[in-house]
Amino acid sequence: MQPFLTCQRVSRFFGDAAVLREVSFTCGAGELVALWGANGAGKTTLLRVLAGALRPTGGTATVGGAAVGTAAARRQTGFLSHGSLLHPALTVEENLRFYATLFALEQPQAAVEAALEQVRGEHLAGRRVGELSQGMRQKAALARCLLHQPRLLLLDEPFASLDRATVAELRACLAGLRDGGMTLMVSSHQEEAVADLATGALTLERGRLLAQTEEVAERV
Amino acid sequence: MNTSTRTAWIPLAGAGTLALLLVALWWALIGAPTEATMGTVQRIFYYHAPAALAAWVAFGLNALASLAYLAKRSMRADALAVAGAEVGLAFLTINLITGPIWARPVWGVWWVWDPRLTLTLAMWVMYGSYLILRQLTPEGGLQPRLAAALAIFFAADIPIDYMAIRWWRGQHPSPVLFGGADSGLAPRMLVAFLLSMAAFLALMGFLVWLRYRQELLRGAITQLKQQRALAEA
Amino acid sequence: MSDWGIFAAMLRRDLRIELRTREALLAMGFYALLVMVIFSFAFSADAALTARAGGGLLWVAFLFAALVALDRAFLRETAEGALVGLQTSPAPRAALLGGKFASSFVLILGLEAILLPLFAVLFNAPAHADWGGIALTTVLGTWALAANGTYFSAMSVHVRQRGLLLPLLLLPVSIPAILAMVQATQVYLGGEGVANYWLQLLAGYDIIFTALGLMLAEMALEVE
Repeated sequence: MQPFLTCQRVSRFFGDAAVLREVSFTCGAGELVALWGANGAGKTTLLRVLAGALRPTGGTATVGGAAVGTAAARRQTGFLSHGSLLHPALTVEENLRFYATLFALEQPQAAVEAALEQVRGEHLAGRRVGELSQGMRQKAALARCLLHQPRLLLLDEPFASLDRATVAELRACLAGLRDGGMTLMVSSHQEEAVADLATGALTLERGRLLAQTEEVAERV
Repeated sequence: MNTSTRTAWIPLAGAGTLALLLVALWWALIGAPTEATMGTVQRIFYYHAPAALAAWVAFGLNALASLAYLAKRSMRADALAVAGAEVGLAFLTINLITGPIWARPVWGVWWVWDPRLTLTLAMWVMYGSYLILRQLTPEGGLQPRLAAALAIFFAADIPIDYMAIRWWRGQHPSPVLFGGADSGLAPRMLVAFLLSMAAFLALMGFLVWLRYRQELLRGAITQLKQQRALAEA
Repeated sequence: MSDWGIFAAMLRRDLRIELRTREALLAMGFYALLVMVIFSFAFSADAALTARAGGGLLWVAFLFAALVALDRAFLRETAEGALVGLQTSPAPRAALLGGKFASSFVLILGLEAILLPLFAVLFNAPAHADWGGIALTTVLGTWALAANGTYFSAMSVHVRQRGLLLPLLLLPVSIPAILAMVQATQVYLGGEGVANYWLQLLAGYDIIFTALGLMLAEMALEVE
């Protein structure tokens, strides 16, 4: 299988502390990889590095052949992190239109509408982000990630503090994206939410890759 | 990094610099004749101007090293940039302190808005802010990049600054700081002056070199610490 | 060209945010006002003082206002981690920075529009002052402060003492521009001398540092 996402001996230090230690793995297209690990194991850091939001201290990572952090890689990556990355004073639609412009999309309005449809959040368009509940904000944030139809979606603990109904909706959405050929990496503490969606898993412990399973290619 | 042969040079270079400084000191205090109008205080001139020159050369090194860093992202270039800025600032401080010490007995005021002294003050705050920026940014890749960008800003700024200050002072002429000392120096004074220049430049070079080495060693230590952290379970 | 689209989108978005969160605008405006009032107390403002040092007084007040507005330029982006959104987008950094500069420029001009008439009244500015000249100087001077200020505000994002670092970086580099702004304004307020050279210097400064900022934009918006 053609690897879409590769990581070669990626390390990241904060001062003298090693948060990621020579993590290496590959993922193919259409995979949903669960990222397990205790708090502080380095899951968020790994996702940030893959998203190009943090520079690795050592090693290289590529997305669709382009090195992370380059514009080419960024165009193919969506990152759902702890913050929604949407400004609370603006409406969902205004925020999304802005990002559509940043991604230089051909038809920004159409892209915004399509993204909202994908997450079933059309009713949120005119609402101010600051007024939204956690679950709704999450949907809007996810819509932002999907605007440019990325081929890689990174999600950092997306199920945290969501109610059951929203969790079910999100699971269905992710399954749909996976089936559509997108590569996803989801870090979570909630096993039940992710386990049956995943086609493979990575486990981090204290910055080191402990185990890889299933279709995820083995790399010692 | 081959430390054994390199470290041998340090005491040698240090001794050489010290010798040059002592010789220059003798000439400045004793060898050169006392100036007719200003008296003994004029001897400060032998430290004031060379300190400025040393500072300028050090800052020039900083600018070139910063450009080199932007082009090649080399840690050596960054180490040189830091060294140049720190040593330059130290010499500039000497220059700024000796100026008023000279001016007070001679002109009766501590400060004059002479174009050169004014520019010195501006540069002092600039490079001070550069060092503070370095202090405050987290280590790693970010600090050298931000610092290098700032150094380029300075390089563009200083010529404009000089033009602006000269025009400003041109409208309010003030006594030239070392009237008559620049041209028509008595031969023995010239010797003292040139020796001081050489001594200060040697001292500057020596200090920059030491600081540069120290910075490289620091980087090597960090690398080793990181390698050890990687090897841990 | 999509770069101009990004520039315009950033400008629109920033202004929209400021207008929606009116508290910030209000606080900034009031702060500017307060500075001018305190100055008039502190310096026992009168026509004689203004004739001698009015340019300097006005521009120190403008500087206070500018620093507050510039600090907000990237402070705005700390809400919900919006900065990460900007950093992880493929948008060219120069376009992003350009848009931020434009919004700061507009905001500072807005603050100065409040300060200038207040200055004229409190400091008994001479009736025959060349207000057109002062306006021109203000635009060129504000451009200089906003251009470098935006760049350094972006740099300060990574740093612990953010609010402290911005003036520390901006003021030294701005010395020639500040000199020019103050001198030109003083001339227009009825002082002696010719302002043209100062305006030319300011214009040249603006061009050089805008170009430099755009060329080095990548450095300022780097990720850690």
